[in-house]
Amino acid sequence: MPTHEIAESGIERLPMWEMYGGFWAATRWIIYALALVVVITFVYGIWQRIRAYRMGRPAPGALDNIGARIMELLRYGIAQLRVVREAFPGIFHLFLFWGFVVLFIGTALTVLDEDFYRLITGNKFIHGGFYVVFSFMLDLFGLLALVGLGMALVRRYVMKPDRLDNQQTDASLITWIFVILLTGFLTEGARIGVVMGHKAAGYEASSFVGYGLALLFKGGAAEVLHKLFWSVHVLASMVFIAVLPFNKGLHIFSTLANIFTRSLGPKAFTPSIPNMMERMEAGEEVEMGYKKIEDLTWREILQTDACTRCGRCQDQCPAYNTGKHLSPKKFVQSVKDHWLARWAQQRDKNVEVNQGEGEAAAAEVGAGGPYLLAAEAACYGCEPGDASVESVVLWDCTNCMACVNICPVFVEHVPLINQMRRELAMEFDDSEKACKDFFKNMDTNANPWGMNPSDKMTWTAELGVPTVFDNPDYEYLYWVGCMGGYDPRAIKIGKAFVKILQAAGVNFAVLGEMELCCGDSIRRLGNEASFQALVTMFKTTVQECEMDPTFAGKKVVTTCPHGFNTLKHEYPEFGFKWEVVHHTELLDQLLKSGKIKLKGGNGHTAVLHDSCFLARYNDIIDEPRDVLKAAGYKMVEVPRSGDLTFCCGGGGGRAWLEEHYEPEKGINRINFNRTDELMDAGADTIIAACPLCMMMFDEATKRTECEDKMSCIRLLDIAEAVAEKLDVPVDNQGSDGQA
Amino acid sequence: MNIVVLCKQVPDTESKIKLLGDNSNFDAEGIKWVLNPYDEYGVEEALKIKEAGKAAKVTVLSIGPKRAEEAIRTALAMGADDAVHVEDAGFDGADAFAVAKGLAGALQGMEYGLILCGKQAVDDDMAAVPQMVAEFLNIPQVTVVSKLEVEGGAIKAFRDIEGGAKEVWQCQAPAIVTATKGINEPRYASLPGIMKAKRKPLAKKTGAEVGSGADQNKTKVIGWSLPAPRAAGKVFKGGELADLVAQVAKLLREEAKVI
Repeated sequence: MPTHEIAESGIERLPMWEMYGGFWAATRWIIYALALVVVITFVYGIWQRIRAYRMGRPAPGALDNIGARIMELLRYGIAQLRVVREAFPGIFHLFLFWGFVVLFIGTALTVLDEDFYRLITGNKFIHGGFYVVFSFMLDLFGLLALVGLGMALVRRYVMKPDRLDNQQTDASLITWIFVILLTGFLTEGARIGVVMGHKAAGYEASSFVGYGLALLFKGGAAEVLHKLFWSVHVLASMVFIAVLPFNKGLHIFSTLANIFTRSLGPKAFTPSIPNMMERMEAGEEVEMGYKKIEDLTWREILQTDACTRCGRCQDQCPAYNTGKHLSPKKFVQSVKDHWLARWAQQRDKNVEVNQGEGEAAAAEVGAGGPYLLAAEAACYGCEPGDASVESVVLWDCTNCMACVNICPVFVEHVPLINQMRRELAMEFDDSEKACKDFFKNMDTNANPWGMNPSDKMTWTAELGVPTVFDNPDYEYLYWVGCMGGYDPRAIKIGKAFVKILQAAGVNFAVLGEMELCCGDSIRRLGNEASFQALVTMFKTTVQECEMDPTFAGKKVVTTCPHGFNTLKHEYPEFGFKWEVVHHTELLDQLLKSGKIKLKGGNGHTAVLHDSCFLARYNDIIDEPRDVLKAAGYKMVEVPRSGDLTFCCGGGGGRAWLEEHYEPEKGINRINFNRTDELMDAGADTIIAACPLCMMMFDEATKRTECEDKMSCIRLLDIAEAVAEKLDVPVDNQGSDGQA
Repeated sequence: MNIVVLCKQVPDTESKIKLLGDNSNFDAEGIKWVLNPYDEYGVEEALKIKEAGKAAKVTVLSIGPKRAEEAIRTALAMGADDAVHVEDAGFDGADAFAVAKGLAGALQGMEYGLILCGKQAVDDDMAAVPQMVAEFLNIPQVTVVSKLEVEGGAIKAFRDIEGGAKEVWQCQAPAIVTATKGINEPRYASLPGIMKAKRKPLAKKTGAEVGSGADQNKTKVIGWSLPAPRAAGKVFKGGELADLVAQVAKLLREEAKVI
């Protein structure tokens, strides 16, 4: 029988929310029983998921530095700083997220109040002024969530951006949320309608949405409708919570877990294969890279589960934007699908995925099969084509890190791609001819073209640059780099830079014939063995020359962001203790400290191309702009600049490979795409700070009508832009090799 | 059918060749040694035939000093099954005839249906050894082949000739085929692959066992000389363009004698 337990109690004069009003007394116990089922289902789902993550290897360091991790969680999980980088989806996601956070807090407080506090004390703490504010907040945030949901609906089903693929799970999540929010407000409206039928309840106006809706519910029908709405609302909410771990709702937890456990080291860092050469020498079986799901760490598996298919990575990806095979989003989803298929196989059939099966999968790849992670036989409950990653996808990546940089939940696509490339490069020789030639050249002569190593330092010797043997007390070691040593265009950059160093009186030296390739490209193409061999060879040579192979206390400057990044972030693992700067940073310091003076007056307008390995990997964004302003340039910016820069196409070893180009099918070259953007920026000078970018642009500008028209657009390295404005003091002119 | 691939270790083509003081040979100091790129085509072709199920085993055969092992390991890392290395100081200074005789001697103790190698070695560019091996063994030879088909004992070899035409030859195994560019794209022997190849069998043979050495030479190198250093370029500048063009034309005709 219906009772009005609250309405009959002695505290009815206070503004409050009337619980279980008009229901059977047993309702409370039915709800408790249901809640128990919901909690058990939810916990079971999460537990199963954690078991599935644990198919991966241990992830060392994923839970260290808890303080920093909590800060990350607050910044990116709670404040959602990365989600809001894009205004429209950012705002509606914030509405939904905070709407639900507040509604969840409201529900939790109500449970505390109704099901604990009141049972113990006979009183309620949500009443009076607190209730008025409480209910107002719930209505406000509920409304925001509803508005957010409407915006999401419009975007997903009316605007339909390319990067979203609508699946059933998206529609069902949206539907559930809509049903819960709507029935919540209707319940409130009907309840207020019923209450107002009994007494004056002006305070209910603070529940402004429900109060407005209450006008619709009057008389006896209101009581029936209230029960109906309430039942639907409670049941829908319970089912919603119970199934969260089994559908897209899981992302609420997987993204937070991923942000919490994310890599805090250098950005998009691919860990090395520890001491691989020594271990192989000792006859040990060494895993080359990732060929099966068990090769991933649990954190890497979690990453694929944190991906919400928002597609921001795909929007940024240079490969995707020029019509290539790679979409970072689809890549991550393929790995995830494959993982879930393997997990289902393991769980349902109780099949232990043993070494033998992994080997079989690997053998399939070796025989030329397109599936990296799985043989067809190993793919249970899925179409093999959907479930695994094709090698062409992996080779398309330029390691530009645009995907990692934009991902709101810190999925790291690049290290995963590079780990899989290791299998392709070292085990299966699945690479195109240009890549093989590059590998052979590197193995033989430690440079991309296989040129004679003794030719690398010809120009520095001609300019009288001392080697470390001539000048052992150098402050800066100028790492010339392969481009800087052999490429005619990059040599000009090096000469300009040396001219500046000499004018500034910097105490520097070069390695001479000791310098080998830094190994950035070959490592990122997956050939970890050749990379480690290069580093070992370099260290051995330095030791043989009786120098300190750690370079402790020395500074290194490079004109190439690739060498800069590798020497700075990757060499320390091999015992190097040097401090590494890019020439952009050094030029900025020299200008700001007044060590170099520039001539005033510059009629040119410049557009800067931010290199991925400066702007994104190392946050060097302001320095080049400060330098160019000091050189008198008027600056214009392209939309894709700063950390949102668009790759030149030369990173990740792609500079040495052929790029698919079929404009009639919409397959463009990345450097063409980028150069067009830079040339249309309204500047007469394009500034790069990377010899590989320069090479890519040089090639792309030759394709346009600007060929042979030097006046059309100038393509300069930042060092050249500074060198041509150099106001060389009289007493330094003698040492200026260029003068 | 078993395939034997003849391999030679040669200096990398980027090496800077310096001569010994007495011009008796080049200075091996600082030379990077690699597997002869044309022989790589031979290895790759043998592996492809094996992978197509048309051969049972691929063996590498090489004559050379101790360091030649590195080239052999490269071929093994590419996928060859085993190797024979004829390592004997008696082969120091051996000419094409002596080497061919030694290879033929080694081959006589082996089973082979097909012998593959590069059309020439990129160091001395003699392009003579495979032909002589064929004669010693009295088997058919097809040289400078850019496409090869093997079906049972029948060998069909395609040669590029002038004007883009193809010449097609057919012969019965056993035969020797020399490979040229275009026949395939040799796979990359990764460093881990080269290390794993250390476990593959490598048999050593002496000069006496294969019945040859430099004492069998038919030719003798009597001296070495390097090309003259390239003269500096000449830049024409200043004055009227028409005058400059006239000067250039005059020198091209009278000095360079190219027009």
